[in-house]
Amino acid sequence: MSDTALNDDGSLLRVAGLNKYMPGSRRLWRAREWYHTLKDVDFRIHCGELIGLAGVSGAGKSTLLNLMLGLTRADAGEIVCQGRPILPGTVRAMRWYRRTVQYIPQDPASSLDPRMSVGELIQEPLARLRIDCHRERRAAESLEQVGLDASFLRRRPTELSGGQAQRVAIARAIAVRPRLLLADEPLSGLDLPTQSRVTEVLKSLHHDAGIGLLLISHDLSVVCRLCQRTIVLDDGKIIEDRPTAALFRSPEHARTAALLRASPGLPHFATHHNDTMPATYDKESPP
Amino acid sequence: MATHSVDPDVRQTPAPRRPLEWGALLPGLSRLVTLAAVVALVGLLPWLSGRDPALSILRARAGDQNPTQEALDAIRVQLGLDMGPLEKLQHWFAGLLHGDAGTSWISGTPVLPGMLKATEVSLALMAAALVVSFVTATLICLPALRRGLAGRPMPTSGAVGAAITALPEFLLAALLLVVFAAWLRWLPPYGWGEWHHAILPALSLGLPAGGLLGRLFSDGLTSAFAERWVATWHVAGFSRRRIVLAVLQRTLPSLMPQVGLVVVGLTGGAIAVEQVFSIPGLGRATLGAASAQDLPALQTGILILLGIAVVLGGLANLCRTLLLGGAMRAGAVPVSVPTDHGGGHRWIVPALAALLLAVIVVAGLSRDPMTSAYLRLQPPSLGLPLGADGIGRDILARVSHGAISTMGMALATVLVTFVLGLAIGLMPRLAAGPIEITNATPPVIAGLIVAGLMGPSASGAVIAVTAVTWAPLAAHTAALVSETLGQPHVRITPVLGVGRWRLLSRYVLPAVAGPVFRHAMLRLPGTALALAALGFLGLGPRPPAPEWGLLLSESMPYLERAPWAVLVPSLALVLMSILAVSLASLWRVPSTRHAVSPRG
Repeated sequence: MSDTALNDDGSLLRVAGLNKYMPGSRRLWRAREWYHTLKDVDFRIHCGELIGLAGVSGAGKSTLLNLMLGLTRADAGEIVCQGRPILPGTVRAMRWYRRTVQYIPQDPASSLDPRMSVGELIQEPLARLRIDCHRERRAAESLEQVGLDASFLRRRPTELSGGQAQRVAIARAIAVRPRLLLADEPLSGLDLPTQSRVTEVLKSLHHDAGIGLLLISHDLSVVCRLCQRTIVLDDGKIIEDRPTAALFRSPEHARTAALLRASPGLPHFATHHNDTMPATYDKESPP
Repeated sequence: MATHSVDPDVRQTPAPRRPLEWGALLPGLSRLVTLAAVVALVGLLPWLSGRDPALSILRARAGDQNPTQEALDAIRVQLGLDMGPLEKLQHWFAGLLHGDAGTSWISGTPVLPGMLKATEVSLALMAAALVVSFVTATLICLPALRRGLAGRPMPTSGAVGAAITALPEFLLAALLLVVFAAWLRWLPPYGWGEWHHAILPALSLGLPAGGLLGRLFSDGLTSAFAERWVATWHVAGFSRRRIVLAVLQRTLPSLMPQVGLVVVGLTGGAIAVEQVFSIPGLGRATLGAASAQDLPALQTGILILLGIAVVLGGLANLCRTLLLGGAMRAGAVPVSVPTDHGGGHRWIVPALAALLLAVIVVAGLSRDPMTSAYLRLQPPSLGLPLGADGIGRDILARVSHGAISTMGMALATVLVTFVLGLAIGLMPRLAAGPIEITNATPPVIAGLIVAGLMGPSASGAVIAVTAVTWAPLAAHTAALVSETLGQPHVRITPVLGVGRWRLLSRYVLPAVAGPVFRHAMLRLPGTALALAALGFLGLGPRPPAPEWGLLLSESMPYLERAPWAVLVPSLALVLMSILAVSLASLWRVPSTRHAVSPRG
């Protein structure tokens, strides 16, 4: 992987005109319904950016994530990384992309195989993605980066607390030295001290290693703490894509304001939102 | 989902054209091909068997008539034996479509009406047996439920369940017949038509099935109770009833195929039970047709059995999808935490069973199993610890030598079926058809087909039992695989660069092999008994081989006069099954390659 490999527009990842339909439940006597879950989604991610992707449940966050992970295929539009489109493919064909973009799952406890030790878990992507390194050393380094010592290498997931398990999941993702992490609600289900510890870990990864982050969350206070830029997804459309501070100061969309109000632990600067909605928000394009 | 995401104009947006997913068509295709193959096999049975029944039919119809060439040819033309295989198949199939399954070679009357009547009887018997097995299974599950609700989910040693599972239907049937009909005279020994006729047959059929179901369910319940969400629900103050219902909903889906199999198994068990109690059911009619070489009746019997099984299997699958569907699609099937089996006493049951078996084998190994050196039915004494059989042979010696052959045969069969079942179950979509059809074939029917093709022999019995017992394991494997693939830690593997082979060997197999091996071991006594049942019905090893099934059948006529001759081999089978089941439960302890001490 070349460090300078970027898209021709200078972005690390470009999402352009993305559309996705999801199947509804099938009824015996009726044709299957299809839901338009992503509608013309456009945005770019540059190297080392900290981006929040917010939206209520059902807004299309997980659908977008699956597309960005190359697990499903878009019905229209494309995702481009290093000038190459991201489509579901064989392990071999996707290897370069897996080294570039990694994933932190939502529920660390169940995303770690209970039959493997922490060491085996972290070394798994190193071996599978053919990373040229001393695997045990790299695993220990990754653990250190997330604030766990090498003694954890021999533990099993069932012997970890929630915060430890989440940090192991992060260590597994960063062990391959990716340039972008896709984190799906990485703080949900963790207590407050653990949340801030994991937040610190993610911040330091950005500062020390320059790893970019796309943080997916329904909770804007989490996004507020970490991200420079925030994208708000609503009903499959991007309704805001702005620097976090600006967005928090004056949300342009009623749903953004609602999300802000719904997030505990946020200062009240969001509440004096102008309730008259811009009539043309549907056609609004991200900056 | 937020309400605004389902507004009407969004719903009706037509989806773009998608490439056809061939993978999704595989199961249906597999079913169609297998079904066609089996129907063709059944249709060609007369041709494949290569037998010419003309002579025997002529003898049966007119014993003293000279078998002239003309008389034989006339019979062949009448039976359609002069047709080529394809022509015959076509003829038979066209007849089936018109509700004509051919005419009996023996009686010359249409086969179908009688078989349908027999089916009604068998279905009634099976329904009664199902009630019995449901009650039995519930009783076996109660301790697991109680312990689970008390927050101490611990696997049971399973001795009771194993013992019940181990009792062969024909032995149970005979014992019940002797005790309740002959000695106590509480219930009628033979016949069919009134409710009290059904009690003994239903008990003989339902108890073993209930034992097997109870064991599987109590295992499933125990592991479901050990999952984290149960503790959450406890703490959240959910009522015990709600928790039990949720645990049941979690346990049922992966066991639904087993329930289907047990129900189909009842069909096979019904043959022996119908035989013992002289019940005019489908199994007995099919068995009779096979032994009389009445192939049109045999074909029809097999087809109806397959039809019942396909329907039952489909129902079980439907239930499973309904129960598991939502969680499966969302990838949210909870991970079951491997439970450790605490307590040092877990060694006691298998050790005792192994010890007793070893004592029998060692004590009898030096004795002669073949020579009639004693009086007929000589009672046990110091010099002859277990007595003599019907022709004065040493029972201890015969059971001891029989142990080696029966256990060896059963173990070989189980290991082959374990490997076969795992391999085939890993490609569930391709194997859907063969699994369902094979499941629908009880070993006795398979034994009849194999014996029809190559004559009764020990190897024929092994082939027949192997041919039909891999399917439950494959079905179990397939169910576990699809459940494993729905778990978050497996769904994440593509992102980690895990390929198909690695996914299979490192993620799916370890999760699946344990439960399936335990299941295979659970079936060891069943396999031994299937072999024994074939021996019992004269489709297995030939006399004077000291094989347990044959031993039982040889002693059955003396059940009242010399009960020890029956009890000793059956006790040996029960012991072996206890050993197998309790050993398998020890094996399930998760492998700890790194010595780590749990935090507690």
